[in-house]
Amino acid sequence: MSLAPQQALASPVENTVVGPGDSVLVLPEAGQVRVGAGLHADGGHLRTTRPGILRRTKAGKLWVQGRQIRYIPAAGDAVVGTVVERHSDAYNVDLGGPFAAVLPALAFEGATRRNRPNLTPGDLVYARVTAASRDADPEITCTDASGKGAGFGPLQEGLVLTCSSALVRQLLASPPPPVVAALGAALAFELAVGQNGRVWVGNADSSTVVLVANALANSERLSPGQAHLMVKKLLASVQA
Amino acid sequence: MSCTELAGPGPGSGKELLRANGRSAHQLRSMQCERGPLQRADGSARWCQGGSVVLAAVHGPRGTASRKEDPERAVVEIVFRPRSGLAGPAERLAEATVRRTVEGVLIAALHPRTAVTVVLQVLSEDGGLLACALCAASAALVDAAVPLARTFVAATLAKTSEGVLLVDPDAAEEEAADAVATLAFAARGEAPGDVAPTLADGVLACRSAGPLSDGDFLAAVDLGRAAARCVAVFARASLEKSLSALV
Repeated sequence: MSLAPQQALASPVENTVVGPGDSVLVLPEAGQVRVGAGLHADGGHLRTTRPGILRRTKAGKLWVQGRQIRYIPAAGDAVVGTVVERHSDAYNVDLGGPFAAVLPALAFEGATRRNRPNLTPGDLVYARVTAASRDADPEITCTDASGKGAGFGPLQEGLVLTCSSALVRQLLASPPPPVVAALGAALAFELAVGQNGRVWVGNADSSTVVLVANALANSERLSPGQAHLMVKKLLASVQA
Repeated sequence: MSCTELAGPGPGSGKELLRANGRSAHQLRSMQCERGPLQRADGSARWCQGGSVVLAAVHGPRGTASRKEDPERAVVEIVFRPRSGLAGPAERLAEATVRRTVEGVLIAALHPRTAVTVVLQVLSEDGGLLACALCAASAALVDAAVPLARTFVAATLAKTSEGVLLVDPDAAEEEAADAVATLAFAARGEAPGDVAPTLADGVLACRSAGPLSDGDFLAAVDLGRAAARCVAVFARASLEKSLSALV
């Protein structure tokens, strides 16, 4: 059976729960299967490595949507990191993964040898993962591919919330999730969502920041109606 | 053997010998699995097998001291804490068994230089403790989403002085038995769309104490495999329920 190169194979268990090691597809001899996170080829089968729901992106890529707390760096992710060490030409940044990432000191917009940001351990940065192989420490940068800032860089003041990958995926969905829409309608604040399970809330006074962080932390398993109700109650309790 | 056969004829039917709590010889105790009870661990699970309850927490893959790390694969560390008192040789033996079982299913090459730590805390003991700990460890590893080639389940068997094999003995039955064996089997869905997981050929782990003839031992392995199949079906149902919110 030969397939057109653009046609990706569908799995019979899409949108159902799969456990680790479960076969999702018998790999054919010819054809194209686009594989994403949580899947690997084993024998003649495409198998999962972690539990979750098997999903298919619009481009036809199969991946396992799960809920994970530990972050495993992948190239291209936008992350919120905490500086842990400072060296002469790079910083070590904790992303919540197995190893600290390396952030070159000049990897900021408009940075030169004489003019560069002065970060100390404990500072927060919003960065992009450029390299993440399993054998080396991950590398991050605070610029986009062309060297512009694009929203990356140090984050001043605010609060960092630790959350699971499932909540991060909800927060990064477009349109924005109901909890973010409800909070944004009532309050003014800034949000930086890191795919490493860290969400920074800032640029507002402390009671707003704490309220937003609590609302986001509670919102993971709520339905849209419940999320609206929760935000309304939190706002009422602060104004009282 | 199917699950309904293994569930036994039910109390009062007079078909087989009844154990102290009304179970038949091949009947498992009721099981409970709670996934993710601990907030700070990367994965956690509480497994109840009758009166035996074990809480497992998984941390990792995370960096570890350079003397412990392996440049090609993730290292597995197990800590087994008894309900009371300090850990002794029995706990070290349990740690070694659980470690080799986990190493048999973990895809360690995906995370070199890291460690995956499983902490097992016994909350209450009523027989079949090692099997309960193995099931808790498996559920916690699945909850942590570390890369696994298969999950695993375990069952305990006891051989009484009359030569009868009992499945899932409680503490009194274990004490009175001539021999006790704990067996672990790897499980995964073999074909796409399989409803129940299939147990892999062979035994993933086996820890036995007491005299068992060759025939008895092979009968125990067969019976253990049938019991483990029921445990695997339950574990899968529990996983589907915990993930139903994401669907």
